Amino acid sequence: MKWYQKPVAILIVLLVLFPALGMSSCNTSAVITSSVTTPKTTTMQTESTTESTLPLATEIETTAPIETTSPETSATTIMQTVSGGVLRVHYLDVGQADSEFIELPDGKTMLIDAGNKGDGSNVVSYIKNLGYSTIDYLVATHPHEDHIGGMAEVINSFAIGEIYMPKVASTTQAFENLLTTIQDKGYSINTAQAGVQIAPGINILSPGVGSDYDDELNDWSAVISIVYGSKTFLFLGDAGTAPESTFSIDADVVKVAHHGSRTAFSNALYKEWSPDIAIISVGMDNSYGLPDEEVLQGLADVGTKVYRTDENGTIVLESDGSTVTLKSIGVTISLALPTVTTKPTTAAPTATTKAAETAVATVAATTAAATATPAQGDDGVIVYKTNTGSCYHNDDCSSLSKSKIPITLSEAKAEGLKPCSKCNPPQ
Amino acid sequence: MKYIIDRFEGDFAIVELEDKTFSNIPRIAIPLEAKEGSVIDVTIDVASTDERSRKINKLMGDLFK
Repeated sequence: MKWYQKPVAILIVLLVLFPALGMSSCNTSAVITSSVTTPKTTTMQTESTTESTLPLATEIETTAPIETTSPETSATTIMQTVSGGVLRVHYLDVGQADSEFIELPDGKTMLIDAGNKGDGSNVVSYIKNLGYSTIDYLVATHPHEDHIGGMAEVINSFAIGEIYMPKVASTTQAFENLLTTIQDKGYSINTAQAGVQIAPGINILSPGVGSDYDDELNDWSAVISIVYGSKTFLFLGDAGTAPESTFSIDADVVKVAHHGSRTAFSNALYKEWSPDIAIISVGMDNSYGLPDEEVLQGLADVGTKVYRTDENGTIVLESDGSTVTLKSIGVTISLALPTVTTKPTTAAPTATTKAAETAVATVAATTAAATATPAQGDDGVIVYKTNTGSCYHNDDCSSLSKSKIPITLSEAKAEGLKPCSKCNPPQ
Repeated sequence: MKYIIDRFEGDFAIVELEDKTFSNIPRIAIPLEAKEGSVIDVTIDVASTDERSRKINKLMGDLFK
């Protein structure tokens, strides 16, 4: 058959088929469609073959811990693990308030909230003691004073990169002071809303675009996820169950919303998130009865390990992207996370199990890395503080008769405690 | 004297006082319609004070020998 005969032959076949098919089907357009789709089908097959030859890309997409509703956030949800890179999250003990400082694996820093007004100087000195002079990403989850009170002092003390806040106001002088400080420094504010990516792997999940929580400032909280390798840290601010149910996530560590208040807790949501660790930022003997008993019970039901700033002080967690380890008051505890059983979407279960088994070794490595930063060198030295005093002490000091709280030397310094003049503790 | 409601926690409103410090006030001690951000104006009701003073003094005058 010659080249010009080929289309002719097809035409003839079509002309023959056309009336034949037309008889079997009363819809002629269907016949035309089917004849036209023949080459298209081939193309589609090629596309699907291309897809199946890239199972990795598909897997990364589907196993990413975040499954947000907005497509633009799912594309770059993961912060790629860096060899020797550590994500370190400090849940600062700021009493009945909130503040989390994050050392990112690429050396950048992030601060979510800054405690009450009186906590500002402590937050500043804590971060400075870690050797930083810049905060690359600053987030004010919402304008309540227990979250933004110390932030003006932070802005006055560090070079600030980008600032993120939900576009919602408070009438307090504390909030006005924060705004005028930002203005005086010549910074501007990014609106914190779902779909905004702060950096690769750092996403804002709530408030949703167009959401209106009226005067419920807690519900306007910027909710942030940090995904490093296979580990996800979720920061809920004070968000209540309404905004909390607008996103879907598989979390490893959750900063519990609203200091453990029942209004921000849902058993169903925590079952879905299935965190291994929950952090409650709450003041000792606070007037509000927080955390609520049913929240603690609910977390226990899900099998989540709970750490509280009122009982544990500042809590530091580290992740190499495959495990999460706890480092608190100078003692590093390896957590064999039950990732495999509780996470149906985990990408490589065998690798994760292995990582969990070798967590002790990982801890040793990260601790060694930690000593490289200033002020961390004192982490192995335990001193003691009291409930009220402004000094830290040796184990046997007579000043410790009423209360005796173990603390690392670096933490004691970070809290601004002075060495006791009686017992002469290490400095 | 004015103070601003920063937030509500449990049975308390946390208010910002004029000296920029914060304090707990029982929720029942502020108007029901107050919201976060509401500015509360605290004034002395002189007429009511005088009236109550007269009433109590009269009651005491009747009771004391």
